[in-house]
Amino acid sequence: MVIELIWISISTLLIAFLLWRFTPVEHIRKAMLSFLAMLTVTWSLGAVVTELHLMVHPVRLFPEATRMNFFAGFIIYPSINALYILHYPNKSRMTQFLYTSMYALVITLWVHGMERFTDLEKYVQWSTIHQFVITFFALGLSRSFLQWFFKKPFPSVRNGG
Amino acid sequence: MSYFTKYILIEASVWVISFILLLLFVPKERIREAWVSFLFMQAPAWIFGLTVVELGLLQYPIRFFDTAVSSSFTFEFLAFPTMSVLYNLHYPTNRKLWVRFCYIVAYPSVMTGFEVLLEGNTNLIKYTGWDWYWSLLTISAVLQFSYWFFTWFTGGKSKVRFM
Repeated sequence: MVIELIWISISTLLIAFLLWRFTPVEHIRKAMLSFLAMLTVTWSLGAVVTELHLMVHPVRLFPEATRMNFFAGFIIYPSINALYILHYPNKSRMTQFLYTSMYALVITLWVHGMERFTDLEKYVQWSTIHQFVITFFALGLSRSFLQWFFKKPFPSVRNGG
Repeated sequence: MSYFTKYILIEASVWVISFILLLLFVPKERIREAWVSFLFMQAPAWIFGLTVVELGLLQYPIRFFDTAVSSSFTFEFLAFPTMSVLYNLHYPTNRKLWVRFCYIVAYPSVMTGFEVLLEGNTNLIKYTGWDWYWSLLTISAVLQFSYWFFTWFTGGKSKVRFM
């Protein structure tokens, strides 16, 4: 129980610091929508993955109300997605591919650590490869959605928020 | 038809009705505004949904994803966000105060009405430490709060009004 609390606390503090440090105020809407877009993905995917018993979460927040990993699905993945979208490089395809791969790799390593050292997540019929692939595509999906969404700025962007 | 099947069909019909409502009442040029409303509402719906079940105030004996969640995925993921989309997109901003007041009361009333019907007649939802007025109160508050977020997101600070 202690190791799980430490894992949750450190991860949350770290991601909160990164968000605070690397979110420009003028892009707060983009950050928020990136957060919310990933929340939808992790919620639905998380429900499917847990329902199919591909992974289990012995120690979790809201233990009575859900068997899913609410902490990762509601806080960590959405926050990382906000950083991912805000700093997406406007460069060559290759750079963008590497950028997305880097994020997917970092997330996968974090999940791997969580699986290895804590009871927050345990793979049943799941692997690091699965995790990497699904993360990569979830990031790509949210990127396409946000690109479409912010093609035209909202009136508020002109008004300066 | 068993009761189980009957209730599952009722829950499935919520998905169909929600999609029809969205198709009918979201004009194509406002689809991005609809997305903002829909996605935003999922966050409080998820947290509050889990909280009331965790505290044993509500139960959903028959539900979708019944291994993964004990709260109502259909309500929190789809139905409530859908209502929020309709609420925000058709909010009578420039109408008289009493019209806005009726509008604010109407949405939670209709939603609570359906909930009470389901509570009384099905096993989809059971109040275990809850009552209809709590639903009315929390739904009103969350819908209006989401409307404030929506007006700020789409229009900036100057557009946010209490009601």
